[in-house]
Amino acid sequence: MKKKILYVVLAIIFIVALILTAVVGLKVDLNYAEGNTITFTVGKNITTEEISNIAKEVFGNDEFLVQEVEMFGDSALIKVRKDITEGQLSNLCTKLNEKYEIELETSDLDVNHIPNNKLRNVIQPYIIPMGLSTLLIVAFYAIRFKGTKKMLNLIKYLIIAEGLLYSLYAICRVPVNELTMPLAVTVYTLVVIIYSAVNELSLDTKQAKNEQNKPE
Amino acid sequence: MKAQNKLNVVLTVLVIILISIISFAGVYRLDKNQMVSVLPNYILGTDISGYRKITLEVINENDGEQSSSETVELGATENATQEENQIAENNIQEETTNEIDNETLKEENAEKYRKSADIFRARLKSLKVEDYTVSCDENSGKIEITIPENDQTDTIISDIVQTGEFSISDTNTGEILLTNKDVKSVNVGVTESYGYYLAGMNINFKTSASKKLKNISIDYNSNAVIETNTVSNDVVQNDTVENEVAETNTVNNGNEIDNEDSDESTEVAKTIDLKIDNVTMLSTGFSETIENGTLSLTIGSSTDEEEIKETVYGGYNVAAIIENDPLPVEYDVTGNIYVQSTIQVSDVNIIVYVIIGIAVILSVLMIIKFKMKGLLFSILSVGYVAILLLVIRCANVVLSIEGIFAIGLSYILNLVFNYILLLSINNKELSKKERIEKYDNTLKKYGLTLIPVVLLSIICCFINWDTIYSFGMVMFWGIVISLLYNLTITNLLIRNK
Repeated sequence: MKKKILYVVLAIIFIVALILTAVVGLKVDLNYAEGNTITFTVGKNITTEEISNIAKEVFGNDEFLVQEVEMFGDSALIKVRKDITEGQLSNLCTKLNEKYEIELETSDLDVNHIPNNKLRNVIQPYIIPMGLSTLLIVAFYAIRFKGTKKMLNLIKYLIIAEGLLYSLYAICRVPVNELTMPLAVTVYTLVVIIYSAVNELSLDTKQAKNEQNKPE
Repeated sequence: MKAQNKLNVVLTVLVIILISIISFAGVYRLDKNQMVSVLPNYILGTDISGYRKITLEVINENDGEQSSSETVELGATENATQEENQIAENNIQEETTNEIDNETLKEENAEKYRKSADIFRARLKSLKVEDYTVSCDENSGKIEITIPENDQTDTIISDIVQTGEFSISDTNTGEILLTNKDVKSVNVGVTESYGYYLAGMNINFKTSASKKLKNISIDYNSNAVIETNTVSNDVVQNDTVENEVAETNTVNNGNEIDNEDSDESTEVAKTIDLKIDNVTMLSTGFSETIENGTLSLTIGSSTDEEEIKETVYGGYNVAAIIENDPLPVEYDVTGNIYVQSTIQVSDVNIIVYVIIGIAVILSVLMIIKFKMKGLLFSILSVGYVAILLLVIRCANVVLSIEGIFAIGLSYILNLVFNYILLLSINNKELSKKERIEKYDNTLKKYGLTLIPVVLLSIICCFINWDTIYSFGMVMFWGIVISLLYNLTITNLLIRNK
């Protein structure tokens, strides 16, 4: 009975997550999202922290991302989700000039519109290795435990674990970023490790019980 | 005997602590008044270190604009004729047609841009680039590509932006005989004989095009010609394709002059051009009939291994272009910068601290449950991670975010073994023999538990994607070291309890 309730709860969570994804989509981190970038060279040593502070003053509450560009430590890139206005550009120039005592002009700032990185493309490289691994692992279970029960259980637990992770992203609006796929792979491996260990232990206990029940 | 056992345990623990210090703190030596680490540094993946970001923009959008203006003009002409009859009605029709035309054109362009992005992906995949992203703005056609920074990055950038229209055509008439669409796959390889390297390229044609190639090889057979023509018969015998083109042309010109009066000589001089984007890479004839649908070319030869490596890499780039469709629109590189990763060192530190936190909690739980044995096994686990980190550095394993997670997973995997082992031997009444038996059984069970993870890690090791490969390699080393570690050090501690 408890199991049934659990499955119903899980099904509701997954359905809600799927509906949310279909209606509003997953929340995507700025690094993957569409936006505008401003690239500039200051000609003096800069840190991302310093540029972040300046960007905060210029763009206020708008979401932005600062990355160091090239290897000389004097260039940076600011990515903003929204459109960049002329006023913001000149403001940025003024702030940079004040901070680094340079004479940068708005024409020195390279502004670019950046297309979004589709999540499909982020997930794609993982499909073949994970799919192939799952096939091999379930085949191993079918041989090791002589039957389909254990292998179906593994698939079930994998779906539940990955589904919960996906639901967490969809329902709690956690932004999808560079950590999402590593987390998904980690959850996958963790399920395999735990399931494998539990099964080996239970097999051992079963064997011990059988030996005890054998007539002397 | 008991004292000896205790000494063994203490010594083992000390060795583990020493290895841990070496791994976590490092070993340094003085070199030119600077302290230099003796151990190799961690090699970080593109997701942690940084990547090259290339921005591509459509050069010849006139195609679209032209056709749009053409349609507008067409619409205008049509309207002009109709104006004579129904002016008002036509004005409305004109507007609607233009709107529809513009929308269709937009959709067509978007489709072209999407296709271009797919072709770039296919080319990067053919080039076995380890980790890349391709994003496309369907309105402007702008494409942004990120690829790992290494020795080949610049070559890749300069080559993949080519439109890539490959054709085999008649030198004289310009008739196109075969194109990219007829190509099934392209292989590039090197053969070595007595220190002399020969780089070759095999263009494998689809079954439908194989017959065509056979006919071409018969039609353009130059065997019967003149003895001096052998250079052009052997497809490429020179160091570079350009040299070959020049030489072949010279030979062919010679033929034409020598045999000016003979009709047969004109036929004999029939050659084909191998072109990429209308640039002739090679002019040649065929020395024999090609039956197997594979056109074999020699792309370079040298006694210098490095030089041949570069030639082969250039060959791979050409292969990636030939075996994929040409771009439907022309692109130009408008931005090419190295961008540091968005994941800062501080972010990586957070991940590491979280993993350390989990490890500490698990160790404390072990100590609470198993007391002294728990403490001993916690130290063993730290030693395991230390050795794993040393191996990762020495084996030049690329460390990505997935790789860092894999270190955490390996730790958990080893801890699972320790936990099961402690559960089975946590009985004071056990004799030494029974204890060793329990250890052997647990190790066997552990080995079986590892099989699914081994399968996963091996598959990941064969994937040509930086982050997945890193995960696979770290997991693989994690499993190997865990088995060896438990077979030696844990075994030693169990026997000397």
